[in-house]
Parts: sequence; C-alpha cells; structure tokens
Amino acid sequence: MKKMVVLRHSTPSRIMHNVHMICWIVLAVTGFAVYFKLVGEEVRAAFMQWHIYFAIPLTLVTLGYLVVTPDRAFMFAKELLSWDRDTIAWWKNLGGYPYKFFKIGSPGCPPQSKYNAGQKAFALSVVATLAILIVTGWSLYFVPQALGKLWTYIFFMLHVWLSFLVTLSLLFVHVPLSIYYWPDFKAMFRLGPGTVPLEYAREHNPKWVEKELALLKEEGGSPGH
Amino acid sequence: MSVAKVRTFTEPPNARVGSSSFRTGELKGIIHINHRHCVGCDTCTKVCPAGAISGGIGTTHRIEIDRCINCGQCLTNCPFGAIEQMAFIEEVLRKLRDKETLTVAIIAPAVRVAISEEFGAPPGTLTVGRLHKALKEAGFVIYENNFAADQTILEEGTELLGRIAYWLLGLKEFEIEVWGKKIKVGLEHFKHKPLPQFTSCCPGWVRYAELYYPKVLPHLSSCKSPQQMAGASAKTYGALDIWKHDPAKVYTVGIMPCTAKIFEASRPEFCHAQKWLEEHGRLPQRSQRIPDVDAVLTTRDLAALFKKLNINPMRFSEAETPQDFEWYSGGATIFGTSGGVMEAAVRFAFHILSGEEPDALSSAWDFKQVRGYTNPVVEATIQVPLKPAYRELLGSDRFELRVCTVNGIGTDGSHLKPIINDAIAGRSNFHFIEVMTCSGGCLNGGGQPVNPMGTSWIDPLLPLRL
Ligand code: HEM
Ligand code: SF4
Ligand code: SF4
Ligand code: SF4
Repeated sequence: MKKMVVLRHSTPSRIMHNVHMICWIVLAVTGFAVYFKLVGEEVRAAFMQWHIYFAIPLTLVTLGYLVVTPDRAFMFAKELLSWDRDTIAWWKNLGGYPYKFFKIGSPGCPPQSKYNAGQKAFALSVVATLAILIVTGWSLYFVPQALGKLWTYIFFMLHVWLSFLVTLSLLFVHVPLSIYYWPDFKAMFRLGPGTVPLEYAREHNPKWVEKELALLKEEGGSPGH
Repeated sequence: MSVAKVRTFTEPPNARVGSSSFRTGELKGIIHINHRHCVGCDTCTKVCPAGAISGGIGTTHRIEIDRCINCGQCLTNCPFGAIEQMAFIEEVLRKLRDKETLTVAIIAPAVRVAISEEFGAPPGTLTVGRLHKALKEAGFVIYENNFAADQTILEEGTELLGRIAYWLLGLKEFEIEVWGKKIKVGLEHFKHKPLPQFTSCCPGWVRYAELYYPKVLPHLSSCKSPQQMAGASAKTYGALDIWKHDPAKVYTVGIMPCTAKIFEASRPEFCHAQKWLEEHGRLPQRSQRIPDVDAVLTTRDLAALFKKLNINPMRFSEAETPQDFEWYSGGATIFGTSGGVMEAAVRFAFHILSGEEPDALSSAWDFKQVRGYTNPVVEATIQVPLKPAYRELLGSDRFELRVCTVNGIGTDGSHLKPIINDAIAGRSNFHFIEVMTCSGGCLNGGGQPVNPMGTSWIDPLLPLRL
C-alpha cells in the first residue's frame, strides 16, 4: 500500500511563502545594513535601491495572494483566528516544547488544528507586521514630506523595529522549529507536492486531520495518494 | 521629542571667510545636517527650494552650502531632528549683560504668533504686549519691525508706481500724494528697473535669484528688507534722536521667524548706518565694519534665551502703552503670511491711484484674492479706480493692476521657475510679484518653533516619483 499523505501546503501558499522568504532575507539584510550603518555610504545607497526592488515582489505577491486566491487567504485567516479551548490550553506549557527540549515545565500537548497555538500567534504577528511594513515602507518612499514629521517618525520607527523584532523571531524560533519538523519543512521546500505523511499529521495536528477526513468522507474521496 | 527639538551650534571660526558663492563676511553653513542623526528619509530633499541637498534614500544627506539659500525649510521639516542651526544666543546674552551696550530687539510680525508655542500655549496665540514686556525684562529696547515694514511698503509701493509710470506711461517724473503731501518722484533711474517688480524682503529668495537667476535681479525691488531698514535707522535716528546713546554701542538684534535673516544680516553691504554716521561726523572713520544688524535670533532662539533668563512671556499681561518704536500702522503685520506684502502694497497703490482713504474696518480694503493660503501660486487682477489726475494720464477711468503671489519657491524652484522665466523673457503679464521662499510665508519660516505634526508640503502628491 502506498504511504498515505495529506496536502499541507497548496501551491499558491508555497509560492507566497517562498517569495516572501527570499524577499524578506534581502530586505532584512539591506534594511539593517543601512539603518545600523554597517556598510559604507555607497554600498548603503545601492542597498537601499535593492531594498526597494525586493519590496516590489513582496508587495505584489501579497496582494496577488489576496486577489487571485481569496478563498485560500480566507481559509488561512480563519485558521489563524479560530482559537478554541485547546488552543488556549496550549499556552499553559507551550505545547510541552520547553519540556521536550529543555526539561522545563510539563510534558503533553492538547490536540491542535492545522497550526498549533504558537504557530498561530506567530503567523498573526508576521501577517500584521508584513502589512505594516508594506504600508509604512511605501509611504516613506513616496510621500514622507506629506505625512508630517510625527507620522514619518512613527512610520519609520515601526518599520525598522517591527521588522527587527520579527526578523529575530524568524531566525531564532521559526527557522529552528521548522527544521525540526522535517516533513513539514520538506512539504514547503521540496520540488514535489506539498504533502506530509498522514501519520505525521495525525500526531501533530489531529484536529486538522479529523476535519479534512470528515470533509473528504462527505465528498467520497481519499485523503491523498 | 526628537521630532520637535532643534539643536544649535555657535559660529565656527572660519564661517565668515569668503569662498565660492560667499563674499568675505557672509556667514557660511548656517544650516547643517548632523550625520549622526540623519537616517536618510529624504524629506528634506523634497522641501528644499534650491536643490541644495544631496543623498539618496537611506543614505546620509548633505547640504551643499554654495547652493543653499539658508531658508531652514529642511530643518523644520526633518522628522528626525537631524538638522541644526547656527545660533547667537550666547553672544546676545553677553551684550545684554554689558551695561554700556544698548541692545535693540527688532521683532518681526511672525514672531508674535509663534513664540507662545515654546511656552506651552496653543499655536497662533497672539503675544504682542507680553512679548514686548518679556524683551524689556531681558534688557532689550524695542524697535518693532512692523514700523520698519511700514517704511518698506511706502518705499516699495512708490517704486512699483514709479516703474508703472515709467514703463507703461512713458513719464519722466511722477507726482504722488501721501498724507496730503505732494511728492515728486524722478523716474529716470527706472530705465534699469523693468517691470514686473518682484519683492525683495525675503533673503532666501534674494539669494536664490543671485545664485540661479542673476538676470532677474533688475526686476527685484531695490528696497531693503524691513530688518535691514530697522537696523540702519536704529543705529542712526534711534541712537541719536530717540535713545541718545553712542551709536557705536548700539547692538541690534533681529528677532525673526527666519534662518535666512541670519545670512542677510551678515551681507557686507549692510553697514549703511556706519557709512552715514561717518559721513556726518558722528563716528570717527574706522576700518572695522559695523553691521546694521549685529545678530539675528530666530523665534526658537529667543525662546531659548528667555528660558536661560528664566523669563516666561506668558506671565505678563497683553495690555501695554507703546512708546517710541513700538508704534506702527499695523498695515504691515500681514507681511508674515503669504500674500501679505502684496496686499499691503496693493492697498498703498490703490490709495495713491484712487485717492481714496484706506479704511481698516471696511472689507473693500481686503484684497483676499492675493493671499496664498495653500495655493502654490496665486494670480489676481485688481481693478483700481483712478482719481482725475491719473485718469487723464492713462486715458481710462481705471487701472488693471495685475499681481502674482508665489507661496513658497517650491521643490527645486518648481513654483517660481516658470514665473521668473516669463519675466526674464519679457512675457510676464504681471506688474508686481511677491516671492516668499517658505510655503505659507514667514509664519512657516525656518526659524519658527517646530510643530511635530507639521509639514510645509502644499503641493499635490501626484505624479509619483518612480
Ligand atoms: C514591502 C515592504 C517594504 C517596503 C516597501 C520597504 C521600504 C522601505 C523604505 C522606503 C525604507 C527607507 C526608509 C527611509 O530611509 O526613510 C526602508 C527602510 C528600512 N526597511 Fe524596509 N521596506 C519593506 C520591507 C521591509 C522588511 C521586510 C524589512 C525587514 C525585514 C525592512 C527593513 C527595513 C529597515 C531596517 C530599514 C531602515 C533603513 C534605513 O535606515 O533607512 N523593510 N524600507
Ligand atoms: S529629513 Fe532629516 S533624517 Fe531625513 S534625510 Fe533629511 S536630514 Fe536626514
Ligand atoms: S531647504 Fe533651505 S536651508 Fe535647507 S538646504 Fe535647502 S536651501 Fe538650504
Ligand atoms: S519666506 Fe520669510 S521666513 Fe522664509 S526665507 Fe523668506 S523671509 Fe525667511
């Protein structure tokens, strides 16, 4: 029998994620090198140009995701915003992760849906930050003179320090954990389909799997192949 | 908060050494970008009228002082408080402490509606009596720049009528009547002073013309600005006849909404009082230059000086009994706002040409159509009825006075350039053109308190820069 798999990341989601990732890396490197004056004057000027160039695909892909696949965007938003009792219970021991890695706190994890509570909170903060970066970034680029000093100042500070915070949490939480969840990582980055083994999904995201299976039963299909 | 804070620095040792666009004596680098604080947001480039700021987005910006007209617009619009101003607060304090020196405050009209902001009152709070009292408490005597501006408008208005009489009527002499007095104005020298006439009281604009459009200079009014008229008359008439003080020990301080005035005061030609006093034997011939205006404090600088002396102008009452140079007509108070010089000049011309008496309470004497408000350029035609003497001369019962108000030079001259080009090419439709470097006029000058919410931007946002 073929190993049962389940679709974790749809193609549009993967395109969005990966374009975001590449752009974010370039934007972060160029942005912080400029802000903290880590490189010389001429390199800073060039970096800022690159910063603007890479902001364009980032913005287009984000808007494209919303416009071309509004259903996906809606489902993603719904998933991130649905917090049930188990989502809240997760925070009591952070899903048992501190115990698993450092033997701090207690073990055990309440059943989670497609994303666990930590991922939900993190994704929400990334989405909000992304929106703020896009709005503040383009405003600073096109109309700083019209914002008024205070708003330029606030926009600038939000742009720099939100991107800084989120970049740190990406580097030190999101990246290590996603490598730890190797099947999930592969689903995102391999050239083939964005699927994970059903067993793996059952273990980590039981509620999601249940929901998907229930849906499929209604439609009379199989979870994957 | 850094958004509203302005750092100052004292005059560096070589600031008056002549080089490229500066003559010896002229102050260089009045406005300076502090590299440590500039984040490269590029706001300053967008408001600079002279294209004097270099640096791309994200990189440290720099002012090319040879191109800079000292308007300070970059400074009041920098959201990061990265732009600094040369200030003379300590020097003025030293003069105030010196018992032998008579220190004269020449206060511009735009200061009275702004200084209170530095002491916690809402923007626009009118502070006239209070400001005078605070200045006296600090040890100044007062020369209202409003009074000097009255003089300016008499001179500049007469000059405008002279140019019109010479160029449009072909007259060699012209008679005007002011306060019942008939004055003959010789017109021959207008051969070199074509129409349209431009205002000359904004030193940012004067330097702009000198640096970028020297051909337009004959069009500029030959009148000095109110500050310079005040300085020269304070050190002559004021010192000798009113205060009875040794003119060499009179120290004049322009208190201005403007950083370009700091530059204006340093221009080497402005030592007319000294020249007159020497010619009339009231001063020994001396080699050391005595400027008409010794120092300029911006509105912000004055607030800093008051704070150092523990004086809060808001503590005093508004009621006052004006003396000496505290009197003025009030007609020039509007110089502080865009269209103000124009409106005062139009009133003067209207009065002379129509023979009608101005009425401060009548709206017939308001020429609102010349006010700048938030329009970059305003054009207006004023129908002036002529009194019989002029009717014959012109062969018409009215004169169409065509005027234009440039409300801020605009980014890299955007508002002004087409108007200058027309004037130089002889295509201009106007008789009189007011140019203020700062959008909104001096109220919004580079020396005013920095309001964190503010922006000087009055232009549309499209087309976008790509
Ligand atoms: C769509 C997205 C973005 C746009 C349109 C954008 C645009 C801009 C602009 C115009 C500036 C210059 C601000 C100025 O100097 O006034 C800037 C600066 C900066 N950006 Fe972005 N940005 C975007 C995303 C990001 C992201 C994702 C990051 C980081 C991860 C980031 C980090 C920074 C940093 C640190 C600076 C400060 C550089 C400086 O000192 O000028 N930006 N961005
Ligand atoms: S406005 Fe201020 S911070 Fe922005 S580029 Fe100019 S000097 Fe630098
Ligand atoms: S805005 Fe005014 S003061 Fe600033 S650089 Fe330009 S000309 Fe000079
Ligand atoms: S408009 Fe007024 S404040 Fe601005 S530069 Fe001219 S004189 Fe100074």
